[in-house]
Amino acid sequence: MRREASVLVLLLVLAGMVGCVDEVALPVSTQTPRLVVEGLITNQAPPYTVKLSYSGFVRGANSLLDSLGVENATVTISDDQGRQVELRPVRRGVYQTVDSTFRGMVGRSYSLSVALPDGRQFVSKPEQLLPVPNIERVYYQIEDKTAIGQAGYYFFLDTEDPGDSKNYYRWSAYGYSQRPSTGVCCTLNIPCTRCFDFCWTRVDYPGANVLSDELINGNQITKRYVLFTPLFTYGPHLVEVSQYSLTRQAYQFWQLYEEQRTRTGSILDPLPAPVEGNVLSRQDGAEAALGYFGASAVVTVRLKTNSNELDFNYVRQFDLIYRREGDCRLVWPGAEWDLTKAAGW
Amino acid sequence: VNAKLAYQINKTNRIALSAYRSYDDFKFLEDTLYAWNTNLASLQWSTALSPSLLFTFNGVHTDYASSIEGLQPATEYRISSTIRHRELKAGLLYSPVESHKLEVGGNVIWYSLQPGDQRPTTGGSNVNSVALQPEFAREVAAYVSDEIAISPLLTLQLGLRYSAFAQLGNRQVYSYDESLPRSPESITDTTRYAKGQTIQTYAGWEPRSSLRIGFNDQNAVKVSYNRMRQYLHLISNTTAISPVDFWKISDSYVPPQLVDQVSVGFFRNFLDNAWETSVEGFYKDFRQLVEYKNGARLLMNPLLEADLLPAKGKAYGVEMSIRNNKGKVTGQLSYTYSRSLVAVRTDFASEQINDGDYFPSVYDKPHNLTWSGQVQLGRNWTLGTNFVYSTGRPATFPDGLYAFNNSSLVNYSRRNANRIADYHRLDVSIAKDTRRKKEQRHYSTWNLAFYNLYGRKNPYSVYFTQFGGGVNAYRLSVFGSVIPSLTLNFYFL
Repeated sequence: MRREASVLVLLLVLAGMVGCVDEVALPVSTQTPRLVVEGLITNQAPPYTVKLSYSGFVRGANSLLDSLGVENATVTISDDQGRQVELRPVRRGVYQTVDSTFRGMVGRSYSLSVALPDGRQFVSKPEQLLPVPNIERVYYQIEDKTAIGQAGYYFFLDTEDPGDSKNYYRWSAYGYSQRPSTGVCCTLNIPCTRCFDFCWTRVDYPGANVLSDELINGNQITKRYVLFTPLFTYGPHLVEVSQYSLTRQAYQFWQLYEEQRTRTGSILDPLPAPVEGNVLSRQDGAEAALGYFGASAVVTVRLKTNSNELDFNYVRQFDLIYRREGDCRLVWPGAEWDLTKAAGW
Repeated sequence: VNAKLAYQINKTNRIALSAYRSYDDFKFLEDTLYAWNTNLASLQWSTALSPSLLFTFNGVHTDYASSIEGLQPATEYRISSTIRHRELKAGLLYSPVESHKLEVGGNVIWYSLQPGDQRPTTGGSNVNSVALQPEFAREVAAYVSDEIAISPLLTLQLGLRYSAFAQLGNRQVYSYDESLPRSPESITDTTRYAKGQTIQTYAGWEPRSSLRIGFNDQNAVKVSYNRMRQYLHLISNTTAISPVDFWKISDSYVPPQLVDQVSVGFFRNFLDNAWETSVEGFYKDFRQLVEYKNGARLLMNPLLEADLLPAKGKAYGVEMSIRNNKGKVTGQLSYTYSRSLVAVRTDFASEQINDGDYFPSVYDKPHNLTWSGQVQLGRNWTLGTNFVYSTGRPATFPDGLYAFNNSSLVNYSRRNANRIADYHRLDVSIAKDTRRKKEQRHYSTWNLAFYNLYGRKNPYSVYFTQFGGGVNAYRLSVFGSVIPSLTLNFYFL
């Protein structure tokens, strides 16, 4: 019997044994551009805004709407009582209601119609404007003694979920915090008085913050995280939190949106999906637009934090890191100097 | 590790015990480790009840486990999934004459699956411990099969199997509002099933038949038909950096897969059987396949059934092969053209995938070419070549960016509408056998081989990551360069 007594395998080169990742040119699927609809009617005062654009390959979220916004569309919102209003373009891809007597009402259903210049027509499934409970309180936790970049305010809210209905919520929030600069001389005396040495910079909650009352029906919703505002210098932060009612379909849309928005290519990601909502082609019911036309009741709470709660000496050190040379309106793009008057705070 | 023990008790009784254990792991990138291990143990007892009647009894236990380990600081985790398969099998083989074999038998299988168990692996990890509900099932089957060589040129094989499947507790099962697509929001009720309690059953026939007609000793035709049902479903995410697979047992929402297959093959030998040629065609009809909803979450999803969709599928193809067995140059060239397509049609427009049209499944690689050849160079030197080519597998590429809610998103409209680059690779080896005579007792063989000679970076996957306002594409290749190896074998008598 023949026997193999010894086997020696010698690998001369080990390179290439592990996986290697290369960035490659973006392979693009050649599909026709999709219509994207973003619109909302609320029970707050008009105007109501609808944004229309196409999908395409242009970099930058702002330029997307500028370069792919839909012009010359006919856009109308109608309710279940037969009332209909037309929206007017205010800038490329952005349409607004002009009839100030047309106001969203709790209990009514609303639907959007879009006629594109190429003749295609889209219509949204009627969306009921559901009531929303009040926000009981908005409060915050200060994390000032933490790593640079993570120091700031964490905002939360409490609200009471009604037990007699299925409820779905979305929260949006934005805030302003002060950002320091050296400022510029605004008097002639020496040493001069410096102006524009801090500006308000805005921060928005980056995605969709939604919740179903499935597990908490009829109970308190407590300590729901709504926003983080970074701490750049000593001073108050201004925050506005809105609580929206959602229909089940809208909730599912926002969930899908958030899952797709946060995909990273990891194995735990959900599969890719077009984020389609309730806007369908009138000619071909199987063709959906991306995006959603929603109807929500909204309650809004504003809050100004108390700077005295900060450790002054510690927080002032942040200035050394964040302060830039010059007029804060110029060194911090998009920052505002006089927020209190401009934005009604 | 492989171990085998066989004991011939007496002239008619034999017992064999075998065990097998394997472990494998792979790190695709520095931050993720994939590992697999299999443990198998089997016991076989066979007894000849008469010279023409053989009884065999088998007991098999298999454990298969795979894990994914995340190694990124602060989020270290391990997700493990396991399948346990325990089987008892008994069969009678009756062969009164050489040309007739009749088999009857039955088996029972107990399945036990843990589809996902996620745990942090370090004290500082922020990952939560989550375990999905385990799945249990039992499959019982009986079969009869008959093979008759009607004449030296005509062989007929007929078989029939009946299998019955039961999904068992312990398990919590959700009911969904049937007027809505299944989702966490459409759950209407929850039912608790006790350990061993039957939750759902499926059963059915699986016929099979084949006929081989030889026209002479150089030409033959083979036709066959068979039906199979499969109660285990492979759930596979092929859109991430690496395909992640795990198994799911049929349940109230996921019926067994059914496949009917017909095939026809022509075989012809030339020049005193030195050249063998064949052409084979097949068609498969699949029902109750598993597809995924757009945006489905596959890994660690406690409501997986809400993200699965029933699909139907078809696969067809032609395989051609030519082989030369004699002479200084030997080799085989095969080419297959085949397609594998699926379609998802459901009652809800929002669940439709690609408008309900047939689209390529992840297995759809139409062109496959393989070549392997050896050239005897004299003085015991052999040159070997091996070439493979296949169409890249289907993938879903982005078809646009768009703005919504002050963010930009990537859109993926049609599933599997694109393909990753084709796979091809050439391996070359040169071997030397030091024997001078065939009966030589001490000798060695040398083999210098180059795997992936031209160092092609065959893509294993193409995946996308989003950043602020755009999307980047990455290609993962495994063995993306030439790999030389030298093997020395020493033989003693």
